[in-house]
Amino acid sequence: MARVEIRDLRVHFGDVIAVDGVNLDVEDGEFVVFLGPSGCGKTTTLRCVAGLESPTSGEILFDGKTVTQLDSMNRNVAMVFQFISLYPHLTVRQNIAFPLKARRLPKAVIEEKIQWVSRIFDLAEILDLRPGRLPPGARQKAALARSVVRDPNVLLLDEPLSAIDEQFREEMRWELRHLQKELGVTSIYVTHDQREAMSLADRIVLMNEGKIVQVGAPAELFNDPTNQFSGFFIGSPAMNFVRARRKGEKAALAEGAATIALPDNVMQLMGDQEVLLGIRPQHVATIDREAEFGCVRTTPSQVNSVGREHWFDFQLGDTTIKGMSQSRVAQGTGEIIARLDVEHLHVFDLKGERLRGEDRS
Amino acid sequence: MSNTPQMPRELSDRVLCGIFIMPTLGVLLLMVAYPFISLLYYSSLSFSVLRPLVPARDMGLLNYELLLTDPDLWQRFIFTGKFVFLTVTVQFILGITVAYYLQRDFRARDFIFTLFMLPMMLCPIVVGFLWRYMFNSEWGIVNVIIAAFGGTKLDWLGVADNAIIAVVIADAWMWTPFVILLATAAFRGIPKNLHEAASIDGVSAAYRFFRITLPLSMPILLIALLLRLIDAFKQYDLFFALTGGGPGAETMTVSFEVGKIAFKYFYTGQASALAVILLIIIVGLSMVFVRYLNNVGKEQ
Amino acid sequence: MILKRNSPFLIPAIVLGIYMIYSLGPIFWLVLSSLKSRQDLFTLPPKLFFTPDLSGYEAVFGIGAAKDSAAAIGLVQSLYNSIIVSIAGTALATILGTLAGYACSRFRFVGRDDFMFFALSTRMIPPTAVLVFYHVMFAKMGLSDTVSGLIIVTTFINLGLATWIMKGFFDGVPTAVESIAKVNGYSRFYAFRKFVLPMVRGGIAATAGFCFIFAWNEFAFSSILSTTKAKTLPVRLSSAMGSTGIEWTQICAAGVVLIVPVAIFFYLIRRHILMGMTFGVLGKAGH
Repeated sequence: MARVEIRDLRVHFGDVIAVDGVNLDVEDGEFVVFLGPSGCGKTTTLRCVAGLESPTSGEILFDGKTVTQLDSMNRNVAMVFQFISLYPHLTVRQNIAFPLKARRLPKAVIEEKIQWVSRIFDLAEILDLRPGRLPPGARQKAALARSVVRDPNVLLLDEPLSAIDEQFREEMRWELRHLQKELGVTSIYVTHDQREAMSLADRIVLMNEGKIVQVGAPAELFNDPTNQFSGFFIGSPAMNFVRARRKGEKAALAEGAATIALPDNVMQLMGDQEVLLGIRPQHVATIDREAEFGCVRTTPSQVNSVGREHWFDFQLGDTTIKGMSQSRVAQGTGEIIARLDVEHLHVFDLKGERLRGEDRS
Repeated sequence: MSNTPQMPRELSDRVLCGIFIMPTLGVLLLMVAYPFISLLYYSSLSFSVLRPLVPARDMGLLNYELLLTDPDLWQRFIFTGKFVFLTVTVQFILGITVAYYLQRDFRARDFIFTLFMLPMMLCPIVVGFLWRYMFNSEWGIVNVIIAAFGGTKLDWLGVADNAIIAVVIADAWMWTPFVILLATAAFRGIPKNLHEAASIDGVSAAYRFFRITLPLSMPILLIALLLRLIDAFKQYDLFFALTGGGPGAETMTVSFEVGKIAFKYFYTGQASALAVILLIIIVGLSMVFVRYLNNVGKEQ
Repeated sequence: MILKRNSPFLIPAIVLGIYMIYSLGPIFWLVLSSLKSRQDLFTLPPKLFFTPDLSGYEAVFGIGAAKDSAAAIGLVQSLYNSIIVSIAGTALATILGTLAGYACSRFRFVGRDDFMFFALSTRMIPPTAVLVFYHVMFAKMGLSDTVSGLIIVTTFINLGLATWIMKGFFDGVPTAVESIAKVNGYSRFYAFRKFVLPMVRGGIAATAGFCFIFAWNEFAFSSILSTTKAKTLPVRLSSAMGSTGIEWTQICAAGVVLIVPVAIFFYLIRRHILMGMTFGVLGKAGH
């Protein structure tokens, strides 16, 4: 187990910049998840840590020692791939033994380790089968067992659960999280699924276009996005964004489609420029009587109830705002009052950077 | 479906399958099964196509008995075995080694790969003549090079021990590209992830090659082996042009011998008997091989 | 990426270099010798620089000084025979092999595996063994020394290979293609012709390429079954061991002429060749 540091990592493939200056420290035993859309550089960064890709510039350090020049076989890392990481011509037992045999460990030790790992991962029944006969879930479990059996410095996981059925995936996620803590192995996990990231990570590293957008605990990213991209990418349904500009005492939304009263601190942040207001659908509700701040009179354009959650959409000019109410919203019955919870209102400049007041920090 | 094309009448899968198979089956029956049965019949006769008017005499199994008790024929089998073993071994060692080093990406790799395929594309009869020309003991380029490095010139095609080396060099020259081709196809078929997994597992290049690359390439390499064994076994053109079976009959293969009995001496009956023996050996070996191949395929 | 990035380049370079001398040296020598005059061929040490002499090529194409000479007319006729026989034989083998390959890939019929093995036997049979019989059969059918006879034989020797390679390519096309066509009301044959065939165009090219190589270079069958007017170029060459000794220049020139179309063909279909040589095994073994 080791502490992993990534220093100013850059990877260029010809003209394409895959990773554009990534800096990150992963603590010993920590579970870090790289999250981002495809092509954001998360997998390339992971492959650099594995030694499968050589960085254009920058450094990778394990426990303070640089490993940038080492190839993957000398880094003692373990990796689980999205599809195939088991050798198809070997049984699960032989697969697990493979890295140990390559290290010329004595037979008894290998056997002992296989027993140990098969107990943890509950593999006893499939030890002598070949991967081709196993369902994807069992295959990835065996692949995980194979990677942790030799005490790697760091465990790297490249979307390991994406080939598994939804139902089984939930279970695997829970198990993975549990085992990671029990084994205390430093882990880096790559995914594009924000729900997966939220449920697994100690810390999420959100990436976009080769750069780190925001790093933090799942709750931190959810509650306190530092820019428009984090707000948009984390949480489901996605955060609402609407253009706003000061108009007298109030603010005009979406080119004047509606005006809204906002508290002083928000008005100060806005200043005289046009900004983006971001708010999660969970923080847009309907109320019966107009409150002091954040209320808009509107008619819902679409209503959809899922269990106790009553989702509704309404239009402000070109912008659709999604909200969630505790009580049923009737469609086509005319005006409702939608209230934006100003406590959870985020202000971004038009470039997408979060505007923060001095008092809030 | 208004835009459904008007088909004459829908053919059932069964009929379609029959229509697709029939022409090939017809050719196979005419060109393989019919000859084989006829050869069985001929092999019991004493006759010659040169003298169709002389009535054929029924010899029973005498043709086979004569052949199998002929020590010369056993010599042909021994030489054929030696030749097949040597040339296929050389082809596989060279072919797999070259394919292994051709995996690395470098500029002009595809160009070099195509150039390496050239010998296989050259007409076998020309290959035979070309090597005969180069192996000439007086002015052949091979001896010229040997002499330039201070060696003594060899009589390549005039001495039995040299002649077998010469034919192996020529045959391996021509057919190593085929092994390179199939080995390359096999190596490229291995998922990249597995190589990366092996690299992360910390195994040495040699260990990886023997424990992963080679076993995973096995199905295709076995096909290559089967085809190479068969082709070497039936090699005819090269001997025809390179050695003509000489010196003496030292480089005479069984396949060549059949040709000689049939088309030089025109003992059609006896040639048929030898042809039958040859076919049984080759088809029998292939069946064992294909069965094994199917098992390998199923296991993976 | 399979070899380590920083492993020394030296060993691969040496291995490939040595093999290249072995592999391409004779080709180089063939081309060089095809341009030499008779006098230059046998000099010691062999000449690397000489005045090119095109008499070999003139003989093969029946032009220049060799125009109207008896030997040259024979060569030109055999070149013409070679072209007809290879193209027709390749086309037939490819068409029949495509149909049979599709049937073997898609339909389960009794004896399919036996059929596949039977087909492969066309590649296994030593020519001399069946020639004993063909010789008789062709004589009876009046096919001896005819171009049509050689076309039949050429089709036959490639049929097994064509069936196997095409089956491999058809195995790579998902059966959903036909299912979707069926759902949309197209017949199986229409689906085969309009949807499946275009998807294996590369495979057909690769198959035709391989068949052409073997057809173009075929010697054993043609040498027995054609005696005078149907002789193909390889057969004609074998008789270049005339009374005046072997016509090395002609043989080398004909060798170059023979390899050029094949090499061009190979280059054009190079992308499909590797795929074709896996006989569909890769798809099965990869997962």
